[in-house]
Amino acid sequence: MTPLIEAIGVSKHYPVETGGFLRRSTVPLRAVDSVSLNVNEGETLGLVGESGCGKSTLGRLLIRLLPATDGTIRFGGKDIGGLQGKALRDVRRSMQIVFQDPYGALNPRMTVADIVAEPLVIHGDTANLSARVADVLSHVGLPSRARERFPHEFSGGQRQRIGIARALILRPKFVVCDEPVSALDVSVQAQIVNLLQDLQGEFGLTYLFIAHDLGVVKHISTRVAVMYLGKIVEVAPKTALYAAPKHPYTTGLIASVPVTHPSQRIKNRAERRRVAGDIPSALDPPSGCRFHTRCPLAQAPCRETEPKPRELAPGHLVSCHFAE
Amino acid sequence: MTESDGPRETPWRASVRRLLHHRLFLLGLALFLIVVFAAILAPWIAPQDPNKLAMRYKFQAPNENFLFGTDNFGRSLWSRVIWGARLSMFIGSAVVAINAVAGTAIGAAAGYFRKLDNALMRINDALMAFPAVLLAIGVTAILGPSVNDVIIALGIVYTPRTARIVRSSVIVLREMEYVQAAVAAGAGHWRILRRHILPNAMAPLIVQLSFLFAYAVLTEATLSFLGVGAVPPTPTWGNIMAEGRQYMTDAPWIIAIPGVALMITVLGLNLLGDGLRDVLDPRLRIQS
Amino acid sequence: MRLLEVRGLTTAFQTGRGEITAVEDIDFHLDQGEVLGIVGESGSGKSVTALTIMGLLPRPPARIVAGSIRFDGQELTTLSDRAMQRIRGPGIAMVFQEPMTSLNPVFTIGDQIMETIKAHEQLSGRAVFNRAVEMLEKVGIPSAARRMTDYPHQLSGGQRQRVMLAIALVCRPRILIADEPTTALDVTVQAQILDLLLDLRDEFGMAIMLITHNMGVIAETADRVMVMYAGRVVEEAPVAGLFDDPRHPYTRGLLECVPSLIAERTRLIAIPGTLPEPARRPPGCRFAPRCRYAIPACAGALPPLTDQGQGHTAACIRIAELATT
Repeated sequence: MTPLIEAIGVSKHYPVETGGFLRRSTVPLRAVDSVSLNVNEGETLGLVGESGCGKSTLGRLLIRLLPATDGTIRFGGKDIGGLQGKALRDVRRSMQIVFQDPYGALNPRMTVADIVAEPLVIHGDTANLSARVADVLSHVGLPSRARERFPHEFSGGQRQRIGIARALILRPKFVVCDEPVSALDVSVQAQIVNLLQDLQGEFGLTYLFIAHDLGVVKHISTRVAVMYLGKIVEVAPKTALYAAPKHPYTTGLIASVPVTHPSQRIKNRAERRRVAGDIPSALDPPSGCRFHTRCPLAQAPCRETEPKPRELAPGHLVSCHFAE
Repeated sequence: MTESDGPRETPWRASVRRLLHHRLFLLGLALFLIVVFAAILAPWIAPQDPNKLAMRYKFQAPNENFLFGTDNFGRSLWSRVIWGARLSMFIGSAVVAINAVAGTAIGAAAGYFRKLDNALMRINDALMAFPAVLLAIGVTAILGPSVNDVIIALGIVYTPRTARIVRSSVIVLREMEYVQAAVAAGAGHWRILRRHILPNAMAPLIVQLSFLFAYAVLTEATLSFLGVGAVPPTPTWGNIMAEGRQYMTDAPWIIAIPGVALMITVLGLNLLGDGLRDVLDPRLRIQS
Repeated sequence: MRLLEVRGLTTAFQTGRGEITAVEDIDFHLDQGEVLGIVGESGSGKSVTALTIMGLLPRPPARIVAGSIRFDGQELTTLSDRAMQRIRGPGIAMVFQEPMTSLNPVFTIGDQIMETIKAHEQLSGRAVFNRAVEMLEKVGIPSAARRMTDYPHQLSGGQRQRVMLAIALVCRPRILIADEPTTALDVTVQAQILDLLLDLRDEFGMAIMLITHNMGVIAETADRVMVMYAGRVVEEAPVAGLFDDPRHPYTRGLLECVPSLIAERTRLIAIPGTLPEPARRPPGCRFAPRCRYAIPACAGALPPLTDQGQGHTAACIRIAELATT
């Protein structure tokens, strides 16, 4: 079965000027560095990582919101990297995005009806516009009287619903959810997560769910990919990843998540296998394996060669020289 | 589902409501409107020909017959100042209109299309480097000193500044997520500019245009005071003041009254602009 | 005598639409060396409570309508600004959520730490510098002496938060108020900072008021917990008691809606609706409109905090019946 989305060796480099007045040079900021990833139809692929790992950039590359510096991106088996004009517009109907910031994602000067209907208007698909807008609004749990109102009249969670309605009105097959609940209060997060799950079932959607909250990712994902400084370090089915993580960064990440009950507190804090140090700069990433500066397993080969992904168990890929 | 139950307010209506509560704005608006109405009603409230010579009435101080007195040629200063207001308002509006259109077009193009940015801004900055008055004098020297040419000159002088302001807004707005959402939905550049970027870039532009009106009026007065603006006997405040300069000790009202008129106009516009800025662009507000 | 005792604290703000009460009837205490977690969503009043204690709310428009705050026996609500300044630092210190905006970008971190020392102590010159370096080392900044001349933008988010802690703790305060100290940080850095907080508490013995909306942070660090909703305290308990046996429906809701790494659930149990705006709070129990156990009587009057035994209090009129569900 061809995966719905295939990314092969995808990179995104931003040229950054450094150096003083006379020795200006351009250094690439490797936001995403040669990433290969598949998303299968109907699944939710969780993408986790900390700030600067490139997960948001990768999400946008997959739906061509950003042009890739290198690599191939396929949708439904077709290469979409070179598409332009009408062909690109047509493909866009099948892939959409929900953003993190409910306050920046909606044009403050447009009514909810205009915001949600815009994708249809752009594609000239305006038959029964009003009814379709009302329909999608009810699917996301908003009353139809929301239509004439403006974004500032709604709470964060409601705005997220509007953003989701806008993403779904074209009936896409693939939706990138870029930290859709991170900016919301905890009780509202649960509402939106539930909503996304319901909609996935109703509309047969495939999600790339980008988040830094491991708990939410575990709840909603089928498979999970972990990113660090522009590279994917581990991909596995959800249960396998959380129960038996193989990459030392994943292990450290999971160990850093706060416990859910005080009785689980570790008495001797120094013993916990958490990750030490700070995230290096993406402008000057460590040589070889990027994680080696903070890795408890680091040895000589780690500084020299970048590890290639190895399949340690069915569907469980790890990029580490020493994991097993 | 809790949402605000109050009467719905479009973003514009909310701004207007806040403006109407802003005392300094209202004061500025009042001052400016006095001048505007004087200009509009000129044919009715100042029916005497401002250029009509009447030597027997010369150098009269303000009295019941001549509210503002007369000048060295016996012309009614009241007429001249009111018709001068008409001209100032006309010039100010025209310059603002040129700026609004050209400045927005250039600024939006530079801010939105990265490839055009460098080229446009280099030309822009070159023009901005000239002091406004000098550049205006240069242009009128080439084109000739008529009212229309003064308008063109001021348009050229001030458009770069407006373009810069629009460009700044566009650069910020270009990165907003609702713009990204429109791109993801397949929107083309024109739609994005028209629907998403320009409407949200209006606020700083409106503030700038109100200050610009004041600059235009002031610069025009300067030009005509220096003798390079509209040709006498056209009654502009600058011209009247230039002529009145020689008689400053004997007939001070000739130079003083247009000066006060100019001051009221500029003050009113500045207060108006401050109020607009406070309401429309909170980022620029000075913390009180 | 308790280290900090707050009774009946009510703070209100003068706005264009009249006076709005931000927090009401806040009662709690803090003892030497303990970590009190204050949890609630945004808008619940946790920050306002902390800022009122520190005297950092500009008055006007803020006003302490009622209540008392006793720090080591001394009443803070009636203190002059100057007297309060002497308490901030050596008495009570605070760290905030956004270290980027809390640190002045045009001064070196060394200057900012030393400035705090000089404001409260009689040291000078070399002694001040050494104290500052010592503090930087304690908060885990490597090569501390060299870092003294760094500017905030040269540090990472986690390092800046460590510097904030250094500034707060350099005068050995009795109480540290940490307002969402890790919310803006990555999870691995958050874990380091929480560990650091507890290590510093062990070493210096100060009490900590930790404000957060994250129950996991509470589970990791708190000794006792106070749950706030819409400006009022709805539950208070020792941490194990709160997690084992939450009495207030809101607390239960908070615990249930967070997906855990351990348990598996098909659907998160969400709390419907949203927090009411301060100007539009419902009469009676403020949580009633969102509560699945609400009955008509709930809207009648504000439920008082009732004692449940073992230091556990909760404000709900149906606790006894719900305890069995």
